[in-house]
Amino acid sequence: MMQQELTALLGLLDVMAEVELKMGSSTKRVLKPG
Amino acid sequence: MERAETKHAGIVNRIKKIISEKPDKFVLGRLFKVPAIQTMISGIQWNIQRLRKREITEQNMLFIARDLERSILENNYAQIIKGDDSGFQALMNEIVSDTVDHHEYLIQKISEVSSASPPKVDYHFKRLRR
Repeated sequence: MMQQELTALLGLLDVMAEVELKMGSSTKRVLKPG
Repeated sequence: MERAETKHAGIVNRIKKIISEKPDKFVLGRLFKVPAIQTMISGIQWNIQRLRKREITEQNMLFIARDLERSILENNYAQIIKGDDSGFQALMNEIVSDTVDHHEYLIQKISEVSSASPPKVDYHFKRLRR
């Protein structure tokens, strides 16, 4: 994998991890999980 | 589900670590070249900023995030990057195995919320059922 590809991919994984965390907190507040 | 999403964030970080340590063992999928990935990142960050500025409701962000997760990480993630590393594959499989349960749970919860505030949620519910 080229360095540019690696950098882009790691950036995507970073933002996806943030989305997962945000989804977790939103789920708790909005959907009140059981 | 909240715990699972937090767990998924941890899995994504572990995947990131594996790829960082052995980048030569992985190749980007054919459809996911650098510009496409950068476009995805911009789109996600734009939505996060809109949420922070309260331009969209947190409830709507939930569905945006759900669509992103489903389309990028869970449904098509295998096409983003390919690698034979067993640890990587186990982590990917873990996310996938959670997906079916999440989807059913979300449909159920959206149905419940839909009864309380029909117009806004009903729109997303229909989108999810597509």
